[in-house]
Amino acid sequence: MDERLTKVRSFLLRFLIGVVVSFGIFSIFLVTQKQNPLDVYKALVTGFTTSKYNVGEIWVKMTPILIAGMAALIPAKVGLCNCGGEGQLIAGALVANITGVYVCTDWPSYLGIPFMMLMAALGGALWGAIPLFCKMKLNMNETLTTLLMNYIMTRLVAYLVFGPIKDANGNNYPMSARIPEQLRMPSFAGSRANFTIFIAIALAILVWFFFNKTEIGFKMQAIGGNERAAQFAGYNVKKIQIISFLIAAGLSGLAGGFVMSSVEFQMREATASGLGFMGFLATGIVGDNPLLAIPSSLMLAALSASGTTLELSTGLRAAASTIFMSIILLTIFALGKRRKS
Amino acid sequence: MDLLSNFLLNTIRSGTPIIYALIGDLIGQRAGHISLSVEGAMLMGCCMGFTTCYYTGNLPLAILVSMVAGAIIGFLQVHFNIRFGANMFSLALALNYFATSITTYFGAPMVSASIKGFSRIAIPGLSAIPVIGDALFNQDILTYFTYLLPVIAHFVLFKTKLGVALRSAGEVHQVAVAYGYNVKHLKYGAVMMAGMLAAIGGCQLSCAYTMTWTAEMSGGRGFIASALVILCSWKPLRAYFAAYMFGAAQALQILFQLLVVPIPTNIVTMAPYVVTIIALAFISLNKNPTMPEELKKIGRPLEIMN
Repeated sequence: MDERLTKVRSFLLRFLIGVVVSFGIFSIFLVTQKQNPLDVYKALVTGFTTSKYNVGEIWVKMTPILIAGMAALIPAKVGLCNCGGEGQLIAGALVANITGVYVCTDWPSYLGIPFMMLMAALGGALWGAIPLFCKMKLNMNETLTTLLMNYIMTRLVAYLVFGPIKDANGNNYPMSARIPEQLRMPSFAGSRANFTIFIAIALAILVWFFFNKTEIGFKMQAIGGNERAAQFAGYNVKKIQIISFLIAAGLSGLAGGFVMSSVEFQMREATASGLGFMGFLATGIVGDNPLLAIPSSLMLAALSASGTTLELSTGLRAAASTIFMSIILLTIFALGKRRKS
Repeated sequence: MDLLSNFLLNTIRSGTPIIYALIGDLIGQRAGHISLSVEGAMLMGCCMGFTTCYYTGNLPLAILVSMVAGAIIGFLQVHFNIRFGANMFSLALALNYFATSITTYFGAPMVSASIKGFSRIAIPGLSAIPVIGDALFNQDILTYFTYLLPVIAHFVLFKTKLGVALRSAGEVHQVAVAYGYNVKHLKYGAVMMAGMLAAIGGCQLSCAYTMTWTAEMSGGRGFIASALVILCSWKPLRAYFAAYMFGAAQALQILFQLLVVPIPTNIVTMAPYVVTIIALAFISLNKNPTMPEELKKIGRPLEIMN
């Protein structure tokens, strides 16, 4: 227990150093862009302190990032690499939209929303099932197949919004119809934030509890440690991996459903893009610790929500905030444990 | 006939960036490192090559600048991996993210710019051959180089002392040490080479093939190249087949447009990714893989790796 506490503490320390160093590097970048770093940071802070809406945007982004992070983390614990959270999340959003618009149009909220979320989770799981099949039956590298599946999903969405699911009353814009009012999740006053953030955080805690406090979860991690040893110990490795991967992909889909039902309401070409990748990175930098994924995804969400504020108040292009984010990611990697060479 | 010749031309042109990234990543993987960051390196090459070309019009300089940018990505990939023990895949995705943000930011003013990039040079005589002449022998200089690149890589990897040492760095370190090479230096060199070659591919993509710059224009080509390395069974000479197979899948889009085939563009553009996955499925049925030993250990904890 003590050892774990030191581990967490040393991680938090590295995390802090990483953020501070990143601020330094980003300041240099800002100076080269003829900006006063202090003004920019001040604009960032005031952007969040003066506007409820802006703070809400952080929670809006954090929900899918954190859930998608779990979708990368759970397979990693059992020795699989799921880089397809991105595609699975979009699949969930897409299925939720189609279900909301075409299936449960007249359903009351208490039936319609859960059904939509269920279908979203199934959609994500189904999209994840393809690379999973490739891995289990054909022994293909799941890192590459999941990555490639993301690109296929992007094309599929583009095809659908330009054709079959294009809104007939949408002035010919490439976007789907909006889901009906009663299927949208209510948001807190003054922002787009909604209760799904609590589900996301509860999920992260649940995943931590499962892997650290339950016997079966603890045993499952052995597979990630050494697959063959787990096999000799009598675990049904394949079965555990399949179930874990499907649950993970389903969670990604659910995150997509949340995005659809609480923020986006309609499908466009770029709807929900990037969130899955960010989730993957949020858990990647914290060494697959579900609890630490909460602060790391909060940080990524805040940074990605700050892009627009930054652009409006300083004239820096929104991509500047993603530069900052990638600097932080790389610095935290650089502060990882040093191996003896 | 014109149609076929056009299809071949597009096959070659879209296959070219893939050959660069493929050979690059193949060298890296032979040394025991998968660099999914070739995607990011390629994107850097696209952007830096295009920008240099736009401001100076100096083509050799454009290649050089993109090579440096690619080498930086390669260096970060291998250095963070060896020195800091970062997970190869998370790190690669973070590097791709880094490349995407940098190029989106600095490339923004270039989005609608036009350049006079690499012009096509017809080889007298050969380019007059019907059907294949125009496709194969009326290309830009970077494309001509890809005709040789796999052969050079094959020669270096299998016929030279350096190649043996490099391959042993990904299999049994002791051999490389016995030859008097520093394993670490070999790995750094190989992965940086991967980034550099992928960036040249990117430079070809933006400065010779499309002549435009758009954000995230590499569109997963680096990932595809990484996947095709497996399809090649880590043998450079098979890169021709793998890359032009991808190129053909990409060229379908233009062919279908010319033939007015009633399949939506967005469905046709899935072809390269679908074809790659299907091809990987076929190769995975091969029971006699030549995967470098060190790659098999990836994903296992570091304790076992040492």
